[in-house]
Amino acid sequence: MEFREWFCLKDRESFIIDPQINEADARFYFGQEDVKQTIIRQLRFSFVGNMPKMLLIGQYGSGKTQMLFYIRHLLLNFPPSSLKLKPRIVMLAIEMKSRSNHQDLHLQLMEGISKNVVSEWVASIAKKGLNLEEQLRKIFIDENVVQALVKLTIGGINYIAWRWLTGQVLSNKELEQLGVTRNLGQIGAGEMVDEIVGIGKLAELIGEKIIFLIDEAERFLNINTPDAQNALEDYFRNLSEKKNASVGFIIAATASGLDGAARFLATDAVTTRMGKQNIITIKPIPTLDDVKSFITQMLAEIVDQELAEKIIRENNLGVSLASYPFDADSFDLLSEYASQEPTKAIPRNIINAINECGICAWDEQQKIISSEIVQNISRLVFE
Amino acid sequence: MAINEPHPKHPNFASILTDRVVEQFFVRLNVVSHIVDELLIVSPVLGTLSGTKMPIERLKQLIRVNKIQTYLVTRSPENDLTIGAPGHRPVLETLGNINGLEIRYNDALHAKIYVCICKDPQNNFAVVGSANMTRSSIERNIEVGILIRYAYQGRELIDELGYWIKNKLRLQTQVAKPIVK
Repeated sequence: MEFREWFCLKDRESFIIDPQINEADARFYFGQEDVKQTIIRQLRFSFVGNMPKMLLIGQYGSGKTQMLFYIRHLLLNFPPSSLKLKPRIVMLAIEMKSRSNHQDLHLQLMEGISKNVVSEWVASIAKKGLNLEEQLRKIFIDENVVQALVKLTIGGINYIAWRWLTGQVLSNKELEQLGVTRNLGQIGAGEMVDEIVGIGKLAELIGEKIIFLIDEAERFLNINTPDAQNALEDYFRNLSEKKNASVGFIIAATASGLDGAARFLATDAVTTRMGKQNIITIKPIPTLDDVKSFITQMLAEIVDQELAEKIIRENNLGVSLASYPFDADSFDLLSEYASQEPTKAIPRNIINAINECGICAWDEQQKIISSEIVQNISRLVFE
Repeated sequence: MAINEPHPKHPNFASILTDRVVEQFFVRLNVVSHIVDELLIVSPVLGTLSGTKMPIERLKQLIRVNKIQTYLVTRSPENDLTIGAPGHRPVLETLGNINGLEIRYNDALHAKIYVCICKDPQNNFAVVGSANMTRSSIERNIEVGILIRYAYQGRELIDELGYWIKNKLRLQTQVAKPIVK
């Protein structure tokens, strides 16, 4: 019998919840009901005349990535009524090195939207029989952007156009071929933001709203040159402006508090534009009851309840369905271990502990996870 | 972006190792050992690695001192392949009593994978290739390995390798009973 059958697991091979492995796991966000409700509320408000501009902060393993996946799940499947257009969710884990700057950010955001998508948007305006350049000039002030977007739909030069639009430095010959006067970003980060906001307006014409979900923003801390940090502050300050409501973003960064995030994300200039209520800290699961609720909710979702009930009954296992595959004692013991050290009461640890307990019981061919197993595993995970 | 299309502005996330493949993995491990959370070793045959930069006693010390949760999947000492390998049983004896180290056997194992998972994921790395964790693979055999760094598509590769080892391969194996000298 396989592990999944042994523990009546539903649509999964293990107890691990990870939307990067199992896409359907994006629908879960267990426990931490207050964080969940705050984010849902802020999302709903943010679409009234604006777009979400949020910063999620929490320690490693606190559930930030899961929250980003959950937000994507909500926006795609249960969009708030205030969101009138189809969301175009661009999810990316940011890459930043010591010498990275705003150009690297812009490149990654643009690559996240992708050349094909932007080309299709431009082409669909052209297909409407409208004068493409005229239409683009209504959106973009910078004539260079207009020229690059027009060339994006022309074979032979479209790759050069995309490289320009993503902020890569072109040679003089390439600039001439493209019919632009300089490289994008030469004047400053603001013009890159103007371009991406314009791309957002282009998306709106097609009926879509661009929302970036940016994970692993702690990597901004790798940047050590003041010029680059200042340019990134400009980039985020501009992008956070209310007037730039065609593009939204939700950033998740590992940090114990706002002070631990990259300086340019935490400045007043950026946070006040985002709105202080949109800076959300995901804390460890606070109390024993919350941990119990987390585990109960998780098991109820990933264990096939009908099958488990049958197995409990037929094998006379003497445990309740709510705690299965734990018995009452081992369930309590796990919850106590998980909540004894506040910084360790995080979803990643709890899920890993449950999975390791399961593997240990499976090795010993035990249908129920005993207190002894919980004790051995919990010492490794929580102490 | 395909693996052979490096990101235009950044170094590639994967590179080919052809020289002392396993040793190169352990040298990197040594550098980051104080921030390592988990070490995953999948090698059908084991050796004491004496004469290399990471003899087994040194590896044992690293695991103990830094409290690295280690998963070792290998062939059993009674397997035809490992009976002829002089270092296999001594390695199992040396590592068998470390707290937080799990040894599992699967005699059908042929994969060779080494994964280092750090407290800060951006330091994660892995090596996948032909090389067993033996001195002969380091010094004599012609081996090749791909070193994967935790950047761009390398993140998914390392995450999936880790998931596969911890949640699939381990469930196809038996937990080893500690071998006493």
